[in-house]
Amino acid sequence: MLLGAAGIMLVLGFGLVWGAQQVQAGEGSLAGLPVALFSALAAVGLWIAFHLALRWRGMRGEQVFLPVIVLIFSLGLIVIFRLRGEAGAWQQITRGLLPGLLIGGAFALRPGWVDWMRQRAVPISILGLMLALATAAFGVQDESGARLSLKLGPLPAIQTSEWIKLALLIFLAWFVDREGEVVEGRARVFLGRLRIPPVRYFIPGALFVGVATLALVAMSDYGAVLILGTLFVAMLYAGFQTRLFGTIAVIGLALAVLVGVALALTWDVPAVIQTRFLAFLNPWSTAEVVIDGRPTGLTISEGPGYQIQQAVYAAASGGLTGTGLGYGHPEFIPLAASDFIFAALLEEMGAIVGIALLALYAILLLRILRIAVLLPREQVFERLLLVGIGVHFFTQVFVMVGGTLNLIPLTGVTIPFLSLGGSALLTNLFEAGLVLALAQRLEASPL
Amino acid sequence: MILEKRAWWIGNIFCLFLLLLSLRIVYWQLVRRDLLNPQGLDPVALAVGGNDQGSQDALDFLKGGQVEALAAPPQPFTQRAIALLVEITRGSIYARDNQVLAADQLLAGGEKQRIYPDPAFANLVGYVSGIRIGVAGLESSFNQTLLGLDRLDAQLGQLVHQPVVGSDLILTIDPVLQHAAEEELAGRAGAVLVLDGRTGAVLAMMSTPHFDPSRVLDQNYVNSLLACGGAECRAPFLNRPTQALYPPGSTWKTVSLIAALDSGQVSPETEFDFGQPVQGPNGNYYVYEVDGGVIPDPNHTESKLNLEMAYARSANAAFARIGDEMPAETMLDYATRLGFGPEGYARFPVEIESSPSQLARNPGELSSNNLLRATTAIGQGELLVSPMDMARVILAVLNDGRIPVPYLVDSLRLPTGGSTRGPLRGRVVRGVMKPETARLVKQMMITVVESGSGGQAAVPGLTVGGKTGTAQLGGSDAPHAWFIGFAEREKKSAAIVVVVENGGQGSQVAAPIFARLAQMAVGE
Repeated sequence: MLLGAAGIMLVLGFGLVWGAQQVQAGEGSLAGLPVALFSALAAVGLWIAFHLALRWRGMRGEQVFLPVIVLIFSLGLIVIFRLRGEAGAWQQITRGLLPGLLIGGAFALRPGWVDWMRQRAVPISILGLMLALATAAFGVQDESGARLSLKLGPLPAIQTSEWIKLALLIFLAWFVDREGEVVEGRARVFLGRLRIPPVRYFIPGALFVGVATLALVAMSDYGAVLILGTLFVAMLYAGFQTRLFGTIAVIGLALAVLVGVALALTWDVPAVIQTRFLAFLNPWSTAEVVIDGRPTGLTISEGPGYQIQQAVYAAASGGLTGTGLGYGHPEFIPLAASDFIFAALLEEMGAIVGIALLALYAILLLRILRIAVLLPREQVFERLLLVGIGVHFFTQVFVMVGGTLNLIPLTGVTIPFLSLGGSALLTNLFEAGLVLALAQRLEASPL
Repeated sequence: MILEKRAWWIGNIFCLFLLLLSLRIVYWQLVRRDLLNPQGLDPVALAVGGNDQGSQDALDFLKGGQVEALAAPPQPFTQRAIALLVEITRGSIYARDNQVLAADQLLAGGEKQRIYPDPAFANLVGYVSGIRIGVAGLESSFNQTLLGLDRLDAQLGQLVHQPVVGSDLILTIDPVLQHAAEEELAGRAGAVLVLDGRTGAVLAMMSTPHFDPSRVLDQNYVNSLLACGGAECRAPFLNRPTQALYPPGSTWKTVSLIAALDSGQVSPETEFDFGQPVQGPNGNYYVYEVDGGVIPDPNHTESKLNLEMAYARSANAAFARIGDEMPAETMLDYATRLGFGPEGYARFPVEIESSPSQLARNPGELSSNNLLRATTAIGQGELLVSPMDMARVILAVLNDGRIPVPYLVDSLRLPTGGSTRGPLRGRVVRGVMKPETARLVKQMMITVVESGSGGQAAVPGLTVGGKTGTAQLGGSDAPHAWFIGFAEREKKSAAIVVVVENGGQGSQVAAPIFARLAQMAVGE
């Protein structure tokens, strides 16, 4: 039902965008409509095929998760079509949706593959780490100087920061599953309350997180660093007992402050972080941006604050119901289809759809956590994997939407299932496939 | 395993974060809507040498340029403001008899243009600039009203993208008087202000020379106006009745008279003895000496005058003495009550741009410097006032010491039907002086016209009172000619201020203009 509704919405949305473009061009012929709807119909076809495949496999246990994703994806595809036309929508389908459904579908249809993955968690996560290191070293540099994507032979360039997060997720789930009880058992009591396990148990986790963080910093992908940190804390929080987590949190915080101070003293804070923070404080500031005592000749409002201004103006001008598809000015917003897609959506579909979209992400997170809680207790790896996937989706949404609305400093990440971007959608659909695979271990339930 | 509890917390905390994001959306849309509200971009300021790229872009846009030129950073505000404003139908401005003074006109192709049919109203109506934003006159000060953005129904309608229609302004101006004022000043720089003596409604507010608002978007026109010198095109964008500051000359003796009478320093019986006249090349004249300074008084031949005739003859020596003997606090107190000086300015709002008057460059000096106080009392010194400031003095005299605050906007007509009264209409400031003082001063002003310096202001059939002024400028410039006064017939009355820049004698130049306008305003 929900799936069908999402499909109808997608086709109608494309029709609306196309209609608005025709009205504004002063044309009235229906001749171009089938071409315009082609990518929408292709997306609907792919989703229906995926749905039928799951039906055929006898999928039970989780009936809300997938339709919610289809709804979010459809909203995103409508905005992408509005901004980038058929080419943009087609790119999203062929580079993201199709491969993502294939990989995610493979796991969803063969739930046993998750066990295979658990057994090979260490080599898989180390492979992800190697990919990150390779990107940091040999990646394609974009115009801002960040190395975000890796080009391997004839394949399209992939953004590997997505895979690092996934690798960390798998690694931490494995670590807590394998070593958790041992660690807790061997912990010694300090000062009556703190429980500190032997230092050697910290080494693998710290090493993995440290290397991953350094790789991301080298890639200048600070948004990913933020998400990595949140994932790390959330996974340990979900996996360890209160006192142990508290101890680790205290020690981790102390270490982070120490390392941070040490870095700040010996090493300049990267210019990107400085300017982003200044722009966050006041995007309209006419003060000149000064990096390490050197004036750059650029004011904040013209430079780092420009994107935030545009996003905020878009959000404010949309009003409650939006200007209507095709009748706003999202073309003023930079990167409107990828990073700032939420601003474009707010402008043309309004606060109602924007807030409803956030509610959809809340549903997504709660459904994932529900599966995690309902799984048998001994499946620690699987449960933690689910928590990690939910937290990953959520942090991506919060970091990007918060940056768009100037609630937190801006860092460019993608919004799961919504933004234009093949690698990110591929990764997110793979994670969704894992969720669906694990959902099949639940007993059938009406919802 | 405690994952159940932990998952519960994670879910709750993250939903709270999503709620924060939703509230942030509401914040930008409702609380910070002002972000999108338009600001003024001034083509005249641009011509003077501003290098505001945003204004320049907006101007190009309105003159048929390409919107694409605006898409390049860094002009997010301009882009959005233009997009917003082209959708709003700006309210019109009407004179008292429903003559259209400013209105939006729909062009072929759906574009809108602001038209100004009557250039005689240029300086008070103002003009709308590059992106249809008022930058002068009422177009500027009532910008939000004309755009409708001050109305709750329009703000709510905007949220659901109802087209916004602005409110109309109905002015108190009488076009017949306005045009008569323009003809009287023709070819000379000056200001005329005609007010309803009972209500303070502005019936005419003329400033010459003026510009043509329908040509303001033409940069060549603006540049040629600004490049021109000479009296026929001096300061054409200045609204002289409220913005220009002149020395008031002898008209200020009315203020000195009010202060001295009301504080009890003098009474109608007070006599002034001027002593022996001084021989001069152009005949004899009296002098008043204070602290080594000499104030000449060539305005009369009598060696003794009572207060009424000293005022009627505009005797400098008498008012220099009043100023010399008056405590500085009294002088500042009455000036402030009448709306002079920065503190007085704050008490009397004006609906369009106006300038605060200056009593002295350093008002504190008035108490220590007797010569400055004496010259200030006769309207020279360092005084600088606008015609609107002097109009309030007449209104106070006419209304027993109350000042009905002058207003231009009679009512606002809402697009939903219905109307509301103008923001200043009906506002009165009381207690400026005792009613007896006002009646005495009024009688003395009538004497000025009947048997003093203001003879040329007389109109048969009307009760006319006033005061002449000839404001010396120093150097070789001809003095500014002033006349301030009132005319009454039965229940009708008008307060009128006339200033002719470098016009010469107030009694010869400004008084006849007053007489003709008074006849039109309250005559049969």
